[in-house]
Amino acid sequence: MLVPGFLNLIRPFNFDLFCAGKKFLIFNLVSRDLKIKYRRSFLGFFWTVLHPLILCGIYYFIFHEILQVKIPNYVIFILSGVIPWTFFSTSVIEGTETLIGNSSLLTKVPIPPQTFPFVACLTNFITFLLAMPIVFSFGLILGVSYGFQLLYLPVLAVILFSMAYTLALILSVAYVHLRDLKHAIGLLMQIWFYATPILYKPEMIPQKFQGFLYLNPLGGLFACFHRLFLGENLVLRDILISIAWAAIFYLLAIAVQVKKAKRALEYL
Amino acid sequence: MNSTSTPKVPSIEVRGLTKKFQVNTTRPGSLKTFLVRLSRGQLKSTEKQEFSVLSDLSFTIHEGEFVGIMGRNGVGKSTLLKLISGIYEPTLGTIKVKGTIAPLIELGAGFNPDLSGYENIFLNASILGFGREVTKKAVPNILNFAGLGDHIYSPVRNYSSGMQVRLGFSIATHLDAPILLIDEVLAVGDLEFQNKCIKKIKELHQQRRTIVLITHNPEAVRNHCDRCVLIDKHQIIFDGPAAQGASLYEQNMDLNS
Repeated sequence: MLVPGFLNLIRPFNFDLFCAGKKFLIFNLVSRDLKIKYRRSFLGFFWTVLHPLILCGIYYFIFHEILQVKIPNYVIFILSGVIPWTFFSTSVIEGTETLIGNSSLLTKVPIPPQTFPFVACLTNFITFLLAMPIVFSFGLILGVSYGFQLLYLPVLAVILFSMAYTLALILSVAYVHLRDLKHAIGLLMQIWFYATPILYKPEMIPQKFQGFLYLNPLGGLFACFHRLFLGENLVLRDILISIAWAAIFYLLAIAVQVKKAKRALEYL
Repeated sequence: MNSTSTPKVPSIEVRGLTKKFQVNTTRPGSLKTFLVRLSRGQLKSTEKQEFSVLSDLSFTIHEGEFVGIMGRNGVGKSTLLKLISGIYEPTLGTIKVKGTIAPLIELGAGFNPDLSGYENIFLNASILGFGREVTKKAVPNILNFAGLGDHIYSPVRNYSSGMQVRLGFSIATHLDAPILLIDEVLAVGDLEFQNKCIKKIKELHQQRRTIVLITHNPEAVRNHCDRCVLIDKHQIIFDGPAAQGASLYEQNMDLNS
């Protein structure tokens, strides 16, 4: 009760949104997922990191070598966008499927339904954090110098995690009712990837589409990631807009969870 | 029953419990249908039908009681179990439960085939809702009862189904939960292990744990339970001594068949 306002963000309406009361369960489920990912194949972690790195290589070749996109330090630029994006899209897609995927457990043992999307996001978040040093190494090798703006990295990471998790919460409940959502989400994530300035700079968008940029919840956030890893100063407006979007997702997720999640179990 | 010697402390209190499910025959069910309806403005016109699975149930189960809940298929026994364990929320009424429940509904819930039996103890215990300390303390007893020897360190995928059940049962019964919910899981494993399970449950009963058994088997109720609750047509039709309830259940089944 030291910081009641902050506590309320973690437990809005007495609802344990971030599974704070289930630490042992979360610990076991996350370590299960990590063990399975990394134990069965000796190269497990290697693959998880290699996959986005190879994607970056492909994007670099196509956009830099063939399409001649002129962005300085394009390798870092791509990495600093694609790595957070990989976390975001994997978490949302995996998180969406968790209620259906764990239906045999959820209908037999009283587990808060938000546990499974949370675990999916947390597992991916750990992989994301482990990939961070790689991006920084590339930056340092290619001559970027980092300063105090690195202090913003935790802030950006929290916003990114919060957005992915809250979106996964909303979609996991929707997926129980709309069973073909899975196909739509794969496609929508693909569209979202290209609609977000990840491979290009916001300034490169033609004037008539500029307005849409800030309608994209991820627009400001990815601009921040780019600037941070390129050693530039962040724009406060971008951070604030991202926080505002995260807050909207958060409120929607609470509404869905508090009102609908328990009932959704009856349809599993 | 020892009701005269010790004061009765309620363990599970159910008051006016009603559970309705919605049968929404016109639910969209898919994004495609949802979008089509949305474009035609037909979303609001969905008809909602409700049916009661349980209506206005009230009963109290006291600490240390061994209660058998019986009823035919589809009368809502499993729904009642899910309501007591907190998976579903009541439409009306209240359920008060004192202490952690160990659900022996699915033994080895969430066992992961790639992890060792030992690792699965912690996973399973946490899924059942127990904490780190309780689990750690119970591990020696769990290992001892399951009797898997060195197999405990090999992946569960190499276990026979009997071995998995042994481990699952052992975990669920050694975590010191004051309440056990059992859903006819005892009919698994070999005869020797079945007897071991029954012995263990009787032992827990003697330790004054509350045990709720959901079953179709009047013999089981006669042999083990103190009390029987019969459910039919969404309501309690009998609540009393086990032997009487079991006989009534048999008569009821004969009448209806």
